[in-house]
Amino acid sequence: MPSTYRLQTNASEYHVFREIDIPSIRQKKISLMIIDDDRRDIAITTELLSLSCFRFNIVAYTNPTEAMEYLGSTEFLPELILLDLTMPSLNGKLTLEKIKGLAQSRAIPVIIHSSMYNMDNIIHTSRLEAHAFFKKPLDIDAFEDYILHGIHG
Amino acid sequence: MQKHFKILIIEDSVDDLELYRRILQKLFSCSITHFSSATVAFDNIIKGSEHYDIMFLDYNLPGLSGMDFLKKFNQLVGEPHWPIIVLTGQGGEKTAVTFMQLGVYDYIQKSDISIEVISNSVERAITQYNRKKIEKEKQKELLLFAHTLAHDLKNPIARIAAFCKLSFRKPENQAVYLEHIAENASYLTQFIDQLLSYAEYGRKNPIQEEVDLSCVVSRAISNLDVPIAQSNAKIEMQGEFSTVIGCKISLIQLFQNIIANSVKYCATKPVISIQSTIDCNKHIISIKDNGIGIPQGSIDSIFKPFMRIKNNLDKEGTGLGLALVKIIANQHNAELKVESSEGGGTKFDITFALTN
Repeated sequence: MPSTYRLQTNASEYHVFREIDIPSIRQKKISLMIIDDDRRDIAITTELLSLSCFRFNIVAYTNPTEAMEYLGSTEFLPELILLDLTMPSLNGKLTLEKIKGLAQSRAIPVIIHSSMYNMDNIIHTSRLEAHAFFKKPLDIDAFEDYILHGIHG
Repeated sequence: MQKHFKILIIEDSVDDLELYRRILQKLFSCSITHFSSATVAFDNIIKGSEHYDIMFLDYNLPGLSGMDFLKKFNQLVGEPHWPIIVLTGQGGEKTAVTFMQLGVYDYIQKSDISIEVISNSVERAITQYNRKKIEKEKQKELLLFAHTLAHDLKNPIARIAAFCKLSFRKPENQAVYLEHIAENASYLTQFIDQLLSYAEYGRKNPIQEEVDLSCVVSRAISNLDVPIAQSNAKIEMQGEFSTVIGCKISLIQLFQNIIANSVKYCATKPVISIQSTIDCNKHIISIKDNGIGIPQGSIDSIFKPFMRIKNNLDKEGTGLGLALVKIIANQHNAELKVESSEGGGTKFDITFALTN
């Protein structure tokens, strides 16, 4: 494919709520947790993340309750969490509340990663202290830009 | 019309109140609550959880006027609220329009009051109220349906977009990505087809013909020959079959959807046993499988449209298969029963009433 060809996909949609600062950013290695009830989506997100200049160490959970157990007991806390919203067992917003309510995980930036990108969810998750909301599928360039430079734009 | 009415009357004239009481008690079995001031009435309504079937409101009240009461009441309760009939000494087209705008169902001039007038008014008001309630329910259902539909369509579309992006950025893996794109596209088509079927089943005039149920089940099985061969499934049919009156194509769809699930949601080689029994005037067809089963908490909702249950096989359906089964069963006055346990297989019982 000629390098000048530009692939037009759906307009990337994302919303940044807060500045982000990941300590290990200089080493370009980031430990990341994905919480998403759909294994296919986890696979896709992992694949998209592989396009990045960062190396992501990924831990993935399809069950938010198990993810919370991990966060509560592990020595190796992730530096960033990608959280899906629509999950039947424990829904995303509730999970966000729990992550922010748990001492061990309170400081970890949570980025909402969901196809349910709408005003209600944006406002709600912003209030629950999420750092940003990226609509699925992940816009890897915008995502990289955000975690590298910390702020939107 | 219902048998007993709970009536609220807000009227400050004792004589008028007596007149209404006499007429209403002659017309219906009812219990009447009365207030002589709109302010007191309003306070009581806010505090209490009383529900009234109908309210008579005198327009000319001391203190809080009927008009102001209506405005406050509308704000508090919202549409549709209990039917309100206003009783007024003053006539005039203008006032009538204002009343209707405030959601009043009817207004009666005191000079016109008679048993007939009140009876007609109440009947009309209650019919209208019931109609409004049904409409509101339908609107709510439609909105929910649209939301769920939008959500269910967004996910496969988001995946296609992701694989397009990946194809572009990692062309060496293109073949795999394109396969996924094709898969999701095919799922979307299937979903939309099933959605249309589901929506249309309610509207079609059901064909009434004699249908041989053993043919129906055999046909359903042969329609599934590809997934059956792929999973090496074993299907047995046993027992006496009869005929019912109904629509052959719909009935084939019903059995096909159930058997398809039995074949699909199975961790090992699917073994499905179809047992038919005729007992008194009932024809019961049981479909028993050795699949992954349905968790106890989810059994009640499996027939709801778009309902899917998470499973370890990572297999996903459209969520419409069993919803369609329910609609078709209802159309044929057939009973549906499900028995299942997680890891313990599932049994569907479909019972048809035989007319001869």
